[in-house]
Amino acid sequence: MSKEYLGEFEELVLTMVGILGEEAYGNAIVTNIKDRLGREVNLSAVHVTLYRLEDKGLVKSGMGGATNARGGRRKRIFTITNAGISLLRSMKEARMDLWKLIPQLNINIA
Amino acid sequence: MQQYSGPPKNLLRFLRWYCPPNLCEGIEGDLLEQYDNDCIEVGQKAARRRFTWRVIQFFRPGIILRNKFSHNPNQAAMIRNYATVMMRFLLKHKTNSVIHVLGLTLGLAFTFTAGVFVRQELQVNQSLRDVDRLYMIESTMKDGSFWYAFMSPTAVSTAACEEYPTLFETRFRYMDRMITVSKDDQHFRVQSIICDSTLIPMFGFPVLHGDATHMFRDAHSIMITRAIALRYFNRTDVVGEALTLSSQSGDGKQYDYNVTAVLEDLPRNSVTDLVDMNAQIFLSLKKDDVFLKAEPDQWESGGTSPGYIKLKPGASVTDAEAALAALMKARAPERLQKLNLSLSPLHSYYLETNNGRVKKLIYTLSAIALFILVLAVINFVNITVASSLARLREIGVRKVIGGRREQLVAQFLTESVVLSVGAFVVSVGLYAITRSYFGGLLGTTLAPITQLGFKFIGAMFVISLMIGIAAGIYPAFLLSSYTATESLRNRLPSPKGGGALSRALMTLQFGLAIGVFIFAVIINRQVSYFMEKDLSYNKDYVLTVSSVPRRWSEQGVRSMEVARQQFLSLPQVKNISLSWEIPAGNVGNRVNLGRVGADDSKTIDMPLLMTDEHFADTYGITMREGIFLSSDQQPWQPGNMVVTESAAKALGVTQGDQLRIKGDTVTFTVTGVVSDFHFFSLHETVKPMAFLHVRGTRAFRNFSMKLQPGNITEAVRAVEAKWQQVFPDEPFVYSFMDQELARLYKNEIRLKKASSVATGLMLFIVFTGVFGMVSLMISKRIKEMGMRKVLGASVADIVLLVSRPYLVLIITAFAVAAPLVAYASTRWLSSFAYKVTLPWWIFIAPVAMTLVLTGVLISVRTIRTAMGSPVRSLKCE
Repeated sequence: MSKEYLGEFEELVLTMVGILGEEAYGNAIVTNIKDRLGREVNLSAVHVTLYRLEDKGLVKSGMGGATNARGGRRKRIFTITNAGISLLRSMKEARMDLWKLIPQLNINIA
Repeated sequence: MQQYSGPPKNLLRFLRWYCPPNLCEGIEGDLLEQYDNDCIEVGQKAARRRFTWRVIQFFRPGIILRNKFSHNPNQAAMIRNYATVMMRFLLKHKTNSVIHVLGLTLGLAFTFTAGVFVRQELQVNQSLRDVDRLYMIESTMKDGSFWYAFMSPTAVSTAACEEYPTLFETRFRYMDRMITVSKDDQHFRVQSIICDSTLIPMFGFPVLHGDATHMFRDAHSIMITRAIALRYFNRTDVVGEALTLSSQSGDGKQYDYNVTAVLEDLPRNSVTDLVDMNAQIFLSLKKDDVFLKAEPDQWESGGTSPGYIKLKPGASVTDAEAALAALMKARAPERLQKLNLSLSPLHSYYLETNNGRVKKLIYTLSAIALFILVLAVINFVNITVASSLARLREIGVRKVIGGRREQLVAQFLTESVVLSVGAFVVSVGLYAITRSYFGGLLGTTLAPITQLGFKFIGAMFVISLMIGIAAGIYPAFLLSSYTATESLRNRLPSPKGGGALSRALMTLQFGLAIGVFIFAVIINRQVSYFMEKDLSYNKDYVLTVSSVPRRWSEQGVRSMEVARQQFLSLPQVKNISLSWEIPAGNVGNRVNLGRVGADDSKTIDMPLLMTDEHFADTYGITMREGIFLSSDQQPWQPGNMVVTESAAKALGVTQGDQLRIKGDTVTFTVTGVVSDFHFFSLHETVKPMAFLHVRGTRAFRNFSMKLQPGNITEAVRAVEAKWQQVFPDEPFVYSFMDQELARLYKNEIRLKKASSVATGLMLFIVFTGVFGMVSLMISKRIKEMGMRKVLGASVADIVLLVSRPYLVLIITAFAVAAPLVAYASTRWLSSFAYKVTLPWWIFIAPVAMTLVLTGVLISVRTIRTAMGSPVRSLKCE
């Protein structure tokens, strides 16, 4: 079987889930992406991506505790799984391997 | 914080509707949180707008498709796979796919056409205002002798409305006239009716221009239809314009009439379009001595005409009929006393009249359409079941990886429904293309698709969906019933089980096809018998001209005799006769004739034809004795009469005897006796008839011209040129006797054509089905063929082996179908007085043809396999 492949946005969302730990839910991811990367993302897109990642077994989800905010609705908290972490890591390594091949080009540009 | 009013409730409801329940809480929470934040940042109004937009953004496949399938994320892929497999299968088995779709398409197209026709026939009269309260007054003779049922005493309906106002609301009567209508140099003969002014208020026909409530302002007012307005004026808004009508009173005068209203072209109905006359011009029913010589509401004149009456809401038909009977008893003159009146509801009149001929045609057509659909469905079932072997593996694999039985059933059902919907779309296109052809075949115009209306097309669509389900349901349950292990081993659990059913279905197919085939042959034979039977007169090369100017007076007759000589001077014309009737079933008068001196009870009712002395020669009718009305030696005397052989026998008279009309003192002298001939359609036996000279009756309608054999087109052109010389103000309206006769047998000719097309279609569907089955069987038995050849079988043996079961099927089907067809056709033929016999070969020939064609088809398909080298076929698999 070919290796699982992640799209750019999927990777971003997965990374954010890793970063936010216990506080990873839809809105938090949207605000964090905006704060850290200055990028406006769509809440529905984030949700759809989260569910897809869950289907692939890269994250898992559970309902958080009840609050008074949010009209009394609980949060769906996502946490990254081991498979998710190892996929992120292997993607990063693969990219680094590629990156190492770039310097010759860099010289030319410089 | 601002006053919290919350996000739009409806949107939340919408979200909960489409959102999978397990995800809903999290999504809703996130949305509400953002909404609260937005409220603080940008205000409530903008927050609500953003909230709306976000809810809409969530309405996306990634969310919606997680609904009930959330436990099975690969569902979408599975459905896609169904489609792929279906397409692959269809393309791999091209022949069978084509047979599937083609059979269904042809069946649906035929059904569609038949449906449009039936719907049009059922709609006749339905658009009339308050049609449930409209009745036609029908009459029958108390003694059972012949009477036109639609002719009732003209005065009775007016009297009924006056004397029983609680029962009757209003009435409508008319007399039909063919009138020559002119404007400048345009002359046409137009079917007209002289009618009561209740035409529009009673039936609610749509008025285009003018005042319909006072349409007959004076004796010279007329209403015309849109078609007439366009023909004469080239526009529709012609209220106040004048048209010139030629009088029928014998003075040859012309009168100007003013158009008071223009009607929309009328839908088919049994009022203005009774007995296919389709009236276009409407005159007032008043005594005017131009078109009407008697007062319609006077009982003494004894006039009869078609009459319609409208009952009050809630009035019972029985009461109304009793009232009419009482009126007749009290008021009718003696000669109308012999009539019994009854009321026939107008909403079913068109279907039921003439012994329900239209209804029978509708039933026959619907049955044929149903048969064709059954054939197509059987093809589908048989081929799907027979080809299931090729899909066993697929079924096995689907089951092993967790496909449930319902899913498989759904898959196969969907396939057949998709196919039949595809076939439906193609058949609608096919209808659009063949519409004019089938319209001509059925003797009507079939509406274009755009006018059929959403409901009808929707209904046809539902029918095709149901066909798809009917065709797919058995294969679906059968195929999905195999267990995974059996399917994977590629072995059918009971190879004989499906075989018996498929044989039974094919027997049904052959039975239906052969049955319709035989019936079509019988219908064809009967119709050609109609057209070819010796009618005891010669209809060949007889041109009838119906637009003879109606100068009904002594001078008028004389001027016609002069005109006759002028036409006779043409070399192409052999003989000419001036008469009221032509021998095509329509008769003007009936009389009760008896011998002078004999008792009134010995009189006989018979048609009285009005002709000149050349009638017998022109139509080649044989004289038994005496002369036909007059001759060179014996000039015509008023009172000269000719009777037919059967009339002479029934009355006990010969040449020179005296006859009289019952209740009258005038006597007639029999100058001759002619042989019997078929004046009426062959539905009836020959009946006694009598002839009087037009010179005495002073009424005539037709010239019958016997032409010389040869170039008929040329002859017609010559006659027409002469006509324009002799009668410059009269149109030239002609037809040939053959055409007139064809009109008599309109329904039978329709049935003949429809059944021929149906036979062709059914045989085609059956043969494609057989072809498909044989192809499948051969592909399964290649190895067997090889073995048989190795063991010494010849090609002929193999072909015979393959075809034998089908030949048995056909014989069985025939044995079942033949008695049924024999019964049905005998019943059908029983409505004709003159009918073909049913020799044995009429049953054998179609079945023999089917046998031979099936044999050829199977041989063609088998022979390649049978001729192939056994070495190759043994290696197969």
